Amino acid sequence: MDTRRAPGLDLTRRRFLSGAAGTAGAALGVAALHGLLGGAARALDGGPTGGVHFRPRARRVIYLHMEGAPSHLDLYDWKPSLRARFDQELPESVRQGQRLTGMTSGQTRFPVAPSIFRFSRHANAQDGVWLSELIPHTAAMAGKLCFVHSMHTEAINHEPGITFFQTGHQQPGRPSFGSWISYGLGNANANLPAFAVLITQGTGNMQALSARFWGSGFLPSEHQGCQFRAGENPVLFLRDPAGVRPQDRRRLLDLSARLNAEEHARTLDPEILARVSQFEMAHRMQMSVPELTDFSDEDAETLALYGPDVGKPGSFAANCLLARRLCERGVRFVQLYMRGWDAHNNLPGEIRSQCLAVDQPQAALVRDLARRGLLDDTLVLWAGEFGRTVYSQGDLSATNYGRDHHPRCFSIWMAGGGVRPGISYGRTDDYGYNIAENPVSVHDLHATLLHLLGLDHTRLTWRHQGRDFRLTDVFGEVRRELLA
Amino acid sequence: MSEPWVQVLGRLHPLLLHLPLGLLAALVAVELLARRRDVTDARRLLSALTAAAALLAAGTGWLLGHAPDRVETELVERHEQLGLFLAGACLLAALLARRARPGAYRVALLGVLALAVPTGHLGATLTHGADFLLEPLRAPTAPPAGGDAYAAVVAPLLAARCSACHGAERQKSDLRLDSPEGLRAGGKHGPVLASGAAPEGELLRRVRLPVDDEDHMPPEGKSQLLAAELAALEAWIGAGAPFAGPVAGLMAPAAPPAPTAVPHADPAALAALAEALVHAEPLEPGSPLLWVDTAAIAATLDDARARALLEPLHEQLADLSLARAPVGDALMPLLAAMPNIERLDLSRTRVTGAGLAALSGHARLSELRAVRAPLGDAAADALAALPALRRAHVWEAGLSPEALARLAAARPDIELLARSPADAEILEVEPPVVVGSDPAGAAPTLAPANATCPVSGNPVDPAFAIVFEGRVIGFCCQKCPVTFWEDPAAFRARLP
Repeated sequence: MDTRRAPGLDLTRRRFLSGAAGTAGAALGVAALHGLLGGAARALDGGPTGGVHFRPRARRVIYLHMEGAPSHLDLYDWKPSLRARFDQELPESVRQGQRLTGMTSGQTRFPVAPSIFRFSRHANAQDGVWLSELIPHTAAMAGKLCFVHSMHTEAINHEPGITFFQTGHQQPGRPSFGSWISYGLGNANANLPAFAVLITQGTGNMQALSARFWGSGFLPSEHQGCQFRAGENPVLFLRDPAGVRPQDRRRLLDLSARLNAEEHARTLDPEILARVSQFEMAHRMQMSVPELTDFSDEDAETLALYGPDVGKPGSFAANCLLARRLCERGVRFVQLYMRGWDAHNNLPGEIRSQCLAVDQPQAALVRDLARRGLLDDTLVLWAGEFGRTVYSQGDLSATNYGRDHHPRCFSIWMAGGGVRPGISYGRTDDYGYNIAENPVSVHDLHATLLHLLGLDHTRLTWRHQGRDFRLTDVFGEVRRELLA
Repeated sequence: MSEPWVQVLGRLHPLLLHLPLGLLAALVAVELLARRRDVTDARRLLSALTAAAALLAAGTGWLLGHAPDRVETELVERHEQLGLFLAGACLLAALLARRARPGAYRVALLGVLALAVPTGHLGATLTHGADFLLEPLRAPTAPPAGGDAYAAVVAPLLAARCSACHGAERQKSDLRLDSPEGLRAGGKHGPVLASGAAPEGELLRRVRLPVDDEDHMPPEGKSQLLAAELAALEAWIGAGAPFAGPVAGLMAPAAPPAPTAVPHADPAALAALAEALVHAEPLEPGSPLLWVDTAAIAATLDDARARALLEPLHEQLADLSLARAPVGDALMPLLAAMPNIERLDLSRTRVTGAGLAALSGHARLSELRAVRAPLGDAAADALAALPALRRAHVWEAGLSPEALARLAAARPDIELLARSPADAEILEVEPPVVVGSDPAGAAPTLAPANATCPVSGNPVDPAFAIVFEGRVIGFCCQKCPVTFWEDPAAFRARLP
């Protein structure tokens, strides 16, 4: 039962608080409020919804979002027969009049651009998976990975595409996936936020990355993602300003909590509680964040595993290691963004340097989680917001080409957390343009991930503007073929 | 009788049969009024109409019963015989109504009523299935906890929704869903359970289609599967459609691993955990068993503190993580006394093999993580002495290869995860990639299997070659492969 929906329960809380404040003084009211927020009253509920709906397979998610949409044709979706169709026109029977973006709709030709990268077949639980030479480290983990080659999305541009992947809806304003998890499962480490966001700047063509992608929408604001930044100050405004002693900060927090408690007793606005709980968490994060971001307790072998960039704060390698450390500490949802995949022109050059940045760290993350036993209940998801076209955007040569946005099919992979390891699911046609078998929608993916986390996607709801909202809206089907 | 319009006429039977039934009710009403007024005209008119309607119903019924796609069963035959008798009785009654005295007519009317009940019942059994009428009166039987999911849940479900048409009495499309044999055998359109071409199976595909889809089952207008029934069917088919044994999620949950004897945790103990910032939540909704994770205070959690926090919950703890906490062997006897603990994470704690030995003989502990704990070789024997253990993460836990080998030999049922995962083997590498006509002039090294272009019939230029069904096919120009790919089947005959 969600207490925020039932005014009666909020009234009880007010009576309790105002009664305490009237008799034993305001301090007791503050203590009671602390109790409500900090735990005693919600000691046993996993989150505001009361925790899981059934026994979960996964307890945490690391979502590696490749912002800008990497080319499935150059990484995961091997189309050897395209090599012989170099520079041939994409048949109308394949494109079927699909609406294109404004970036290529004016092109007079749509010449097929086969990948110039060499693929090899890597052993997995099936008869192997063909992967590109760009990602040798990731390919070495093929036995742990579950590839879905038949993802499709509704959006054809980045903003709506990422928004759709993150919130289940193309228009902004709904809660991010991580916010739903925070709301559904609650926090497993009271010293850190349940939903952490890490960002790496890429080397390729970059698109805007808005903070609303990890916003909590209409959910209470304590469920929004907390961005960890590179450098001296991982979380902004966490440190005490110069001249403010820790005991001054404590007194300030106590006083503001008391005033907030009075305001909440008067207005019953749940956002006030969210604010007080965030103040308290920020206070505890003054201790927990430096310990989290200090890699000095990692041994040399582990650091080397993540590659040479691991010592560079904000690099994908450093963020992958940080993601593992967050998971070890019970953080429910870690969202990494790797920017720079939007290769409209010069794809071979851009994707090479992008893969150089992500390949070793992402493989290291899977390997490190696996050997520490954390992969059993940590789910790793690697995805862009859509795929890229088989036809070349701009000039096509034997060494260079570009690819436009392509929502009709793309590839993702998952690992751990109850996902079936070492399989490929779904198939695209010979052009890597349409799905030939087992299409998986973004809603299906969301439903499946929630299922692994012990949540029924039809029951994880929030009432807003007169109706119940879900991450999967009115769609989504749990794809049991992907479960271990 | 196979003309389509004749079949359509036959299919009007379920509609037309209601005409004589209504008229029959009117005839009874007329006889009840006969004492008060003269009903001779009404009787004659209505009984004539009833006879005509009954003949119409019987005629269309006969057409329906003898349609080419119908399978003759005993039930259909009996319904048909009674229906013909009923029509005859209606005709007789109509003739007797022309007499001045109504006595004989009334006897005939009683005969009609006596025939109408069994005829209608057999007809309804044909469309709605046996037991349709009294089904709500039967007490629902709760599926047993162990037992066969098929027998307890799936078979009754299929009997209720499917076997009216695919059962003992009718076998539409030669399909029977009322027995394991029938399900395995499939019907006229092939198998209904999973097969190579359809991993989910035709049965699930059809019940999932929108109701207005032509292929949807049960057909539009018939009683549909409830959401819970569809979910049960999905779970059963998802588990490989076993005809014996339980299926997860389908049965009344098997008695939770810890019997009901486990009381819910003491709220004060839970409040103490929350106060200490230790995470606790039920393993699943309503269960008294707990997952407890000390991650938030791992840096400062020592043996004494851990004991104080965990001891009051010793019965409820089922999944406990002490990872990264400086706890040691002194805590192990307390954990050994926790009867319901299934998963334990001691990674990077100070627990040694000697401490682990305190857990010997634990009846439930099935999964242990002790990554980078200083276990040492002594842990091999301690792990071997955990009868329920199935999975052990002991990467860099100080176990020598010999100790691991000894443990693996003693307990082959334990999945030992002691090494960093190995690289996936590279099975095959494609030849160096050559795309397009290289600026240097080196054309793709493909030798076409054909001499003439399958599209134009002109001689092949090897520069325009594709790979089709494993063979290299050449064309005369750049346009022809495009035409070819639009419909390869059309050109297949022209390939060598």
